[in-house]
Amino acid sequence: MTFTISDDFRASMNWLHTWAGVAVSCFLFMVFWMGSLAVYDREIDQWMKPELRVEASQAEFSYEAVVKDLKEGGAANASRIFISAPSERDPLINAGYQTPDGFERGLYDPATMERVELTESFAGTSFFYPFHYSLHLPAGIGYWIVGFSAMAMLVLIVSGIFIHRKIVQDFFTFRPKKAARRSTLDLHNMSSLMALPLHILFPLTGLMIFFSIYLPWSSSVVFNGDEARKFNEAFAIAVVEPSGNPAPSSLAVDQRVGEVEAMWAARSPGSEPKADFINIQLANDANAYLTVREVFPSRAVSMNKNITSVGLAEGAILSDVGDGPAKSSYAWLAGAHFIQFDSWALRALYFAGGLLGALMIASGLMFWIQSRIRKGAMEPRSVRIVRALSIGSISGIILASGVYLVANRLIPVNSDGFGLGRGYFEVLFFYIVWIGTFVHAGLRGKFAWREQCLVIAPVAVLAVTLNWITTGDHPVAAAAQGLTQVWSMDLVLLASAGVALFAAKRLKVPEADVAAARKELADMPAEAVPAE
Amino acid sequence: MPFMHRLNQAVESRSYRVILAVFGGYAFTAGFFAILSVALVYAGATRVEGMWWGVLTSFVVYTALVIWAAATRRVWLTSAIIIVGAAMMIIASPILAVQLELAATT
Repeated sequence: MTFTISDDFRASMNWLHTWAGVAVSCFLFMVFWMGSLAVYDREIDQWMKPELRVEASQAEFSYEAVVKDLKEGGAANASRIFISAPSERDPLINAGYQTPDGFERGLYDPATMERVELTESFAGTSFFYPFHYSLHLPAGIGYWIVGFSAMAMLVLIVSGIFIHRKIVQDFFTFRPKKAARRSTLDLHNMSSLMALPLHILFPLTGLMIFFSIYLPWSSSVVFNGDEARKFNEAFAIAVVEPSGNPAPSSLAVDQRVGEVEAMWAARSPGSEPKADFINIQLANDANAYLTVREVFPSRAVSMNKNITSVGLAEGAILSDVGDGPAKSSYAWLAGAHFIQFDSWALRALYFAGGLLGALMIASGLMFWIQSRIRKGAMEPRSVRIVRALSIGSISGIILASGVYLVANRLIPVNSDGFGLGRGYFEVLFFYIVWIGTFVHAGLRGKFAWREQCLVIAPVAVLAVTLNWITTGDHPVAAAAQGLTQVWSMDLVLLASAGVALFAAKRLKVPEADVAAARKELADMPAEAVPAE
Repeated sequence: MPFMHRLNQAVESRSYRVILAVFGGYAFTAGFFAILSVALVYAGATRVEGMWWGVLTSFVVYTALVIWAAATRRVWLTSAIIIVGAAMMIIASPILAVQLELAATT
């Protein structure tokens, strides 16, 4: 049996690809850009909050010692205490406890158990990373925009594959010297095919991670619509009533964690499971219990594969997440999206894959625009609108991210941001510049690509210079201190400046077109000409 | 009949296909997830496993439905399968889930 693709089918896929692409590409670029940055969110944090530039402690870590210290501090009466163990990328202990009006969270130095105060900034983990799945929009609108765009991306990948007659040949075809439109399409095909598995993995696993937001009704039907029961069963959250009797003076936390780790190891021979997060509940009651998680194993992909709740007094197992085939597959797929495991090479691959995705989206949009411009003819309004939105979403968000880094180094550490708070003040710079790039793109049309690229380069160099001035860690000094994260980020910033200049050179509008644009402006009726 | 003629024209339009793909596709996917998870519990899986199977398959099903709605030559037939299928699965799965709960308690 032969399977042939009819021209009719290919035409419908072409139509679908074009319009789904135009509809979501601006959002998809934002998600891919911020997602690529989020691959290195911890490293960006170290750059933006210099207090984090410390060596990871090699000492044996004890949860019990941290619990004791917290209880001697403010957590004496707290019923809930949670602790994230330090790791290579997170050198500090992240711990918190319940207070009458919420949670008190903080970062502690594992060597001294002193609380570490950081530069107030949302930085990589709280600005760039959540941006890539929520767009920081209110009322969950951002999640739905991102989810819709991710679904559209899956459709775009499938339709894009069907469009191609010669998929292997296209992979090796790049004609940079040909006409701009032809080489834009080559670039689009090449960047799509080079990282195709990742382009499928990113949107698909991203959607799965937020299944409970995107398919809330479907995922609770089997639990009779009981949301709480769904989460308790899926993530081994035990529900225990307090006994009313006080807890013993010392809680055997380390012993229980050790028992749970031994149980995990027995379940999957050959692995060395290590708990990296614990949550103590009813901490002052005789029924105190502990949830132990291996959120991100260092030598395996699967995330949250091991979750177990045990009673602290007797060590009885209260609930366990189990290891059914679907659960294990999901744990692997979710882990493949979060990539927190201990592999610098894979993180670099993801960063490159994310940027290739961004390039695929940008070149797709540019091809759409270039296909609708005829030499000597007036540009249709649709082209002008899509181009302005594209420029703001592509070069605009890159420029705004650069300015965000510059603002982080320029604003004094103890500033309160004129009452806004220092972190929000930085974010304000990001949004002012970002909105500005849309306005600029609307006013300057096809010239705006190049002009924004020309600004990105000095902003990137300025960020590196300001890091040197404010912390003294210029790339050579950082390398001498073993601060790989800091000098790598500086080098990436300098490389981005080079890429921006190269892009500006390639995006230069030919002289003939400039003359045509002037003529077009001169031929327009007087009332349509913008005042200068 | 001018009404049937205009209805046919509307269904043959691309806008209709987009609406069918986005909303019809979502409804079918939601129903598919629900009925699959309940059916797996009937077949002996745990509730959590039933739910995870739904998570693993749903977004692939949705993608396929969108491609189908865009490409189909028989829009009426495709619409009927998507809409009637979605309605049946959405109505049946919560009823079956309640039966399951009752069977467990007696």
